[in-house]
Amino acid sequence: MAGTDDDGDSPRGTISPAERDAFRKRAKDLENRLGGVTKKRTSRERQQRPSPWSSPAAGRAMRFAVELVVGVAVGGFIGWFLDGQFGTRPWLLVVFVILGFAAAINNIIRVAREMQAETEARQRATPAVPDNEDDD
Amino acid sequence: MAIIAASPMEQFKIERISDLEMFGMDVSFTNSSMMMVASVALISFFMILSMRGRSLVPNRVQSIAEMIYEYVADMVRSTLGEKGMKFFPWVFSLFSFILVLNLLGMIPGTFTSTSHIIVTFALAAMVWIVVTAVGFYNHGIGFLKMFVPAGVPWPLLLIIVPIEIISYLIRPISHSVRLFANMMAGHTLLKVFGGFVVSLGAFGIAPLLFMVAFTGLEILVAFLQALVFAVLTCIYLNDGLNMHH
Repeated sequence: MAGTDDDGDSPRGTISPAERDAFRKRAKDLENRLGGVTKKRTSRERQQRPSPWSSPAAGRAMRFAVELVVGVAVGGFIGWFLDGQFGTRPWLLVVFVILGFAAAINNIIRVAREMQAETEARQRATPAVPDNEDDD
Repeated sequence: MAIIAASPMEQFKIERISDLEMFGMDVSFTNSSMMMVASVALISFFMILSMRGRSLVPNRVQSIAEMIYEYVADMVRSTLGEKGMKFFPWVFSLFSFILVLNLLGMIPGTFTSTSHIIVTFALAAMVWIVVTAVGFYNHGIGFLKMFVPAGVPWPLLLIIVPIEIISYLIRPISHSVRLFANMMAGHTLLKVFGGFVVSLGAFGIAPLLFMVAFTGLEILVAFLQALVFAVLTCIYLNDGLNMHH
């Protein structure tokens, strides 16, 4: 873009057509190289953007897996305890294991939603591709 | 050799350094307490010394301190907004305390306090109590509305309210189990593979290489789990402050 906009048809005094062609070729070359570097850098910068959420996927998965295990275990414990209190041996246990599972899913969804809102706000705040084209 | 042949769980043993009893309870100063004191001392010294220059153009140590500060400040601000910044010192303390405990535990021969669930549960319970207190302080009895989502037909509430209450109750448990399980599993695995290195003799090079890589991963996990703990603290605190579902 910049550098190729001066290829008007009017001959310009001192530059011979051959020189101009060579110049244009060099400009094109440079542009291609620059474009490659810029693309590489932006993608790298996007990956490395310091963000609290930029944890590896394994970290996130682990976060959620623990939630599920704890939910079912605590639900089961509450059910088992209440069963002992009311003498309804297996039934409250079954109900509360399911409720505990639902509660775990509920927690996961809530945290995931907050994290997503966070990421989206961050992406809106910083443009993915930096505006490096001068308005000249 | 006796030390190496010991069980992988040996490293989690609490040892009393000086016996102490208070109000009929055993409050001995243990190796776990020592690591916590060391962690607090280390953080304080590092922060005070690194910021002593207070130069406009920071030197290396000062920029490390500023990086940690800004990392946590950015996290608190983006989750809780500007008015949540009054909780920043607390979140920052939690984060740095857990981070340094985790990292100190990576030094061979030291003890990892965060590999004991009672330590992490105490921290998580504190978070939970603070969040609940902040919620009732800011919203009064209306904080209980968090358990009753708006716009739900009443027959469904019979199921949803218990689910919401249970999910609120399991938070401190999952919050603490996550940190404790990660630290304990990592350290146990390292120890088990350390045993392999010795018992395999010349072939021990394979588990040794694995251990080198895994130690790097463990340092990442040490940082990550401190971060996750702080992030979740912020997210939970957001419920107490802003109370949106």
